[in-house]
Amino acid sequence: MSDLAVELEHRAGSLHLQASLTMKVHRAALFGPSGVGKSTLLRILAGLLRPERGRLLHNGRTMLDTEAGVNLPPQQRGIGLLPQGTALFPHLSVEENLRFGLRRLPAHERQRRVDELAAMLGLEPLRQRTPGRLSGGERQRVALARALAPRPDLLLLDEPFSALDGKQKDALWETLDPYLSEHGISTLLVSHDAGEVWAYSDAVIRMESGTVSACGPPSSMLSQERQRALRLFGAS
Amino acid sequence: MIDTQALWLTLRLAALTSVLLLLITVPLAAWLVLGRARWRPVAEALAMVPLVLPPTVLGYYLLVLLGPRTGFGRFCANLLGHPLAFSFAGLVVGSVCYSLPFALQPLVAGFAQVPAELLEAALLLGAGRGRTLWRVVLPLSRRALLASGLLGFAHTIGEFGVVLMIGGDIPGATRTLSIALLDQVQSFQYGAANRTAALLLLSSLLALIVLYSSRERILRASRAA
Repeated sequence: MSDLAVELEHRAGSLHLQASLTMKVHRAALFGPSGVGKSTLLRILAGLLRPERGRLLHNGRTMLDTEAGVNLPPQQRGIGLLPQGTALFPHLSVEENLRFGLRRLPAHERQRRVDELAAMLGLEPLRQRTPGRLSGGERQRVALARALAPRPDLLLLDEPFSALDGKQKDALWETLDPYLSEHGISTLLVSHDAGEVWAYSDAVIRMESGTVSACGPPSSMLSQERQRALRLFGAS
Repeated sequence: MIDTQALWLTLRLAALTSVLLLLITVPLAAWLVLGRARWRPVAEALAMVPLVLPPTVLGYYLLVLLGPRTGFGRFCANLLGHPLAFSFAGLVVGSVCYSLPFALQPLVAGFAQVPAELLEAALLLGAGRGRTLWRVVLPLSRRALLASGLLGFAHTIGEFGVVLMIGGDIPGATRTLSIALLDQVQSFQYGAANRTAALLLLSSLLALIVLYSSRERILRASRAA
């Protein structure tokens, strides 16, 4: 479980992001239509983007405080990010990609983690391949394994299952969830797919036009979404 | 006959200059492209000045800087035991300055083409700038590295104005092929001048053929990966 406290403001083009949020994250989801600032918020949490102003506390540690001039670099935040485009290193094999973030660990621990993740995510036959020779789904699994390897406290997942079909997503999540719990990794999933949010989260943060409009369990949030959709189409 | 002494001196100068240029331009290009270099326009303009400046102007300033009237010139003379001007070492300094933009520009362009999300991924996985450069940027900029090395080498082989200003025409010490060509023409040895000119032309052409054929190989390898 990760304690997250966010209070920030950021403008980028037509987006005016104003996020205010305090919550315990276990399996949370950021839900909302495209262009409302979900990915921007993830990039700020990960430390890849500095907002105009704001504060960010993770497990009681100040990651960012623009007034105090604090802005911890990504590698010191204990927050991992699986980006939408996978961002695998094209010149490195699957195994080398997995090892990339483990340099500070002893060799035997590096090997253990790579073996464990390769076995768990079905990457054994792909270990020596480069990303260019993988399918979209395989690339997403490799990127997921690479983001998991350093065992961050909080893993941000930006549309992580977009190249997988429903059955593949469920099978992957069934494998992944126990691993996350075993190693104390909390997740914040970004998705605009209500089914994913329902299935893979225990708390939903809804975003609209750059602001957090609601926060609660998936059942109540999706019921609100359903009511909104029905109202939109004029049904009672 | 080709002036073999000038030929070997030119090759030695070009090889040494290329190595030094690589050592200077890789971190410089990384700083310009990957860092948040506030002074980037000024630094880039300074590095690119030799492209637009008459070689004699650059040669003149270097001659003044490396001469006995400046503190730097005296420091170098004390260090080496002889003045830098009119020596092979001075020629190397001049060549590095003059060929800098030719070696730097391909690297800046190559580094800038590395997708930003890969740099961010490296950062998220705990890599500092040095490791990101070594493990991500350089392997993905092989063609730029090759272009930088070859252009630096080929340009040094063909330089004339700076070399003449800073090194003069001392056989075995500062006389390069391009200066030997001038000597041959001035002494009406047109046969030797033809051979020297042809050699300079062919070496430049060869460097460019290697560059472009390697580009094809690298592109094919990238597609296969």
